[in-house]
Amino acid sequence: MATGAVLSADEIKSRMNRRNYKIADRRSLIITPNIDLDAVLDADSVDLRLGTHFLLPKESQQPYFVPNRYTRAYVPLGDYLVVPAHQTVLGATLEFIKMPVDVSGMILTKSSVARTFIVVETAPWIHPEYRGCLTLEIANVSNTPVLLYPGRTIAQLILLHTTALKGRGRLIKDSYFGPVYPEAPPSKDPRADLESLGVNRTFEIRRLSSDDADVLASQNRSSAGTPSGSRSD
Amino acid sequence: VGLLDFIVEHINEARSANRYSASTLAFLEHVASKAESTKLSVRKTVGNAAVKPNRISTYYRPGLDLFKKHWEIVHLFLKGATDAHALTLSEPFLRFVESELAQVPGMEKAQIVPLLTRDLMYFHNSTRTESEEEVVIDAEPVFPTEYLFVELPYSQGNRLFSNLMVFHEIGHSVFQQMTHAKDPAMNPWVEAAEHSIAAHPSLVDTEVDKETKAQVNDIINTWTQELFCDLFAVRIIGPAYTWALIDLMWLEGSLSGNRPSSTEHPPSILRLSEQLRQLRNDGWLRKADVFPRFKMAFAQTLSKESSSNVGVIGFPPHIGPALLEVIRNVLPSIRKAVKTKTQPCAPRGAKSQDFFRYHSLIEECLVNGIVPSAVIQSDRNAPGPCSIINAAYVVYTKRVDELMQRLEGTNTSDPIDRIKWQKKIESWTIKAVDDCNLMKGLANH
Repeated sequence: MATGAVLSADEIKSRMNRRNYKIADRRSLIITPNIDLDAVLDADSVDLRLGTHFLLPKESQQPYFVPNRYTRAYVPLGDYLVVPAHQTVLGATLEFIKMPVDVSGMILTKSSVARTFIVVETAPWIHPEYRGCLTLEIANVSNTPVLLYPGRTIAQLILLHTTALKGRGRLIKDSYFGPVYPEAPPSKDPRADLESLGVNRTFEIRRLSSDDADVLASQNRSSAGTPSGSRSD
Repeated sequence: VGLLDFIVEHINEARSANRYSASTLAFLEHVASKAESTKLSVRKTVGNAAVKPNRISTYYRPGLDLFKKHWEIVHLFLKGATDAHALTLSEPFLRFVESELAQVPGMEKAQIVPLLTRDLMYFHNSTRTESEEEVVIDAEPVFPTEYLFVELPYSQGNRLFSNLMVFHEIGHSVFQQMTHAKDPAMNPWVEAAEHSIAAHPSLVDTEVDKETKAQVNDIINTWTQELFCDLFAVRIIGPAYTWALIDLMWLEGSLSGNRPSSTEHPPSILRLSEQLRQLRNDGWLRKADVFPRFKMAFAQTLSKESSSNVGVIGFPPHIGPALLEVIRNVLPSIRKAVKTKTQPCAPRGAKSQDFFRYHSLIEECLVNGIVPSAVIQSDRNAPGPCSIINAAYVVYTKRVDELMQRLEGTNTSDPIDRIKWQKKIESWTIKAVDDCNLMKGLANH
């Protein structure tokens, strides 16, 4: 198969068939739970369902986004989650995916879902050999609240053939062993990233310490005591 | 009334700030509504007392005292329940426990309300007063019988294997249900205990004082109940329970050495040897080499302890062996009672048969970082959650190195690295149990 070619339904079925590819075979494709493959399989994609676990962002007391402040929520099948207008939540696919060694993937919002102004994926690329439930960055970009029902199809997975990855090592990156529930990103210090580019000074928002507050207050007092427009020798 | 006001406020605040399981939410709503109705009852009582002051000391005050006593018990449960959100307990795991419990006669509607405890131990909570009365407010029980309260240590909330201790704790609820329903399976048990105590010279000796005799009876009741719960857990979840228990005993230091037993739990040698016997009967040990860790830990315990010198804290040395003898006489009735209760959900040998059919496949999934529900090929070829959990425990204890050796940059001798991957194994296992429940639901649909 040519590199970049999208896997057809037959190829997807073949990769998922245990007679052709054992579970541990690096070329096998695993999608579990496999509830009804024929119902979710299109000519060139597989529909994925919304899982039952969510991370709801907590209100931050800082004037910026703090990536790891979330409340965990479990919404059982049959129940729903309300996503208010212009709000975001992290979810995950119900299905756990194990990608073949020679296949990359792309996850896209299902068109029927997109038309309700729900966007489910903004970092859509999946590397070969990745395994995990796919975290979904769900955004309600509409002006009204939207109900999300776990278990309903929400995204579609497109699989693309990549070069045979000859010479690829036996070992797999540990970051390719993803979570089974939505996971918040690690909180990284931007200074560490920028230092590698030679940036030595990084601006940041800083809380006022009590000393700073005293200095500021005294500055305010002194500026208040100087009449505007006056001159002094 | 001030306390009841606070309780309602506390529940409202907790519900708005945190997320709870369906069973906890139902319990909190139930308590809040009871608090509101109690406030109205207190108002009515105070009004009536003003009209009939001669009945205050004989009727109205005792009524209010009873309210107070019962609300003290509710107060105790409530904080643990509202704090339980911090456990981040896996909902699919709770649903799995409930689905197993639903097959036990008399427990069909049981719902587990988890409570948070600061102790490194699991506890069952009885919802009855000291005199075994039901807590009733306004002619209605405050704790409907379907709620089972289990305390979990806050540090273990999101762990799978240590939480298998929950099966032991719900065994206490099953025991209580049998006692209150006057289950005939309890009769031979009680008779065997009475007969055996009466026949034992060191326990009926005239030199043994009345208080000690009463304490001996209490210990026999407590220990036999604990053994019932152990066997109940082993029959439902298999050897994984025994491993979890060994881990917990090791953590709290009760596994090693010739430590005298507490009055709350029978000696570990008795607990473990009885579980081993049950596991052998249920077919789990026919290929014992699958479980090396269990064998090792068990042999270690056996070599360190001997039943002839078992002591009980606070009692003369001859009491320990005498108690053990009585317990050994009661054991056949306990085993029979466990069998009666667990037969519908754990027919003899069925769980171990399922395990030996699927464990290699499940283990293969886990050492490759794959959720083991991947082995489900059709409704007819699906391992049960018990098999998944036991096979996962084998990987967790025995094959973590294999998993880690497939990954770049991991160090199998680094405990921090190891626990990261052990936790992953737990999360893949819980996901598989959840998937199995889903597939089972579909199959029954």
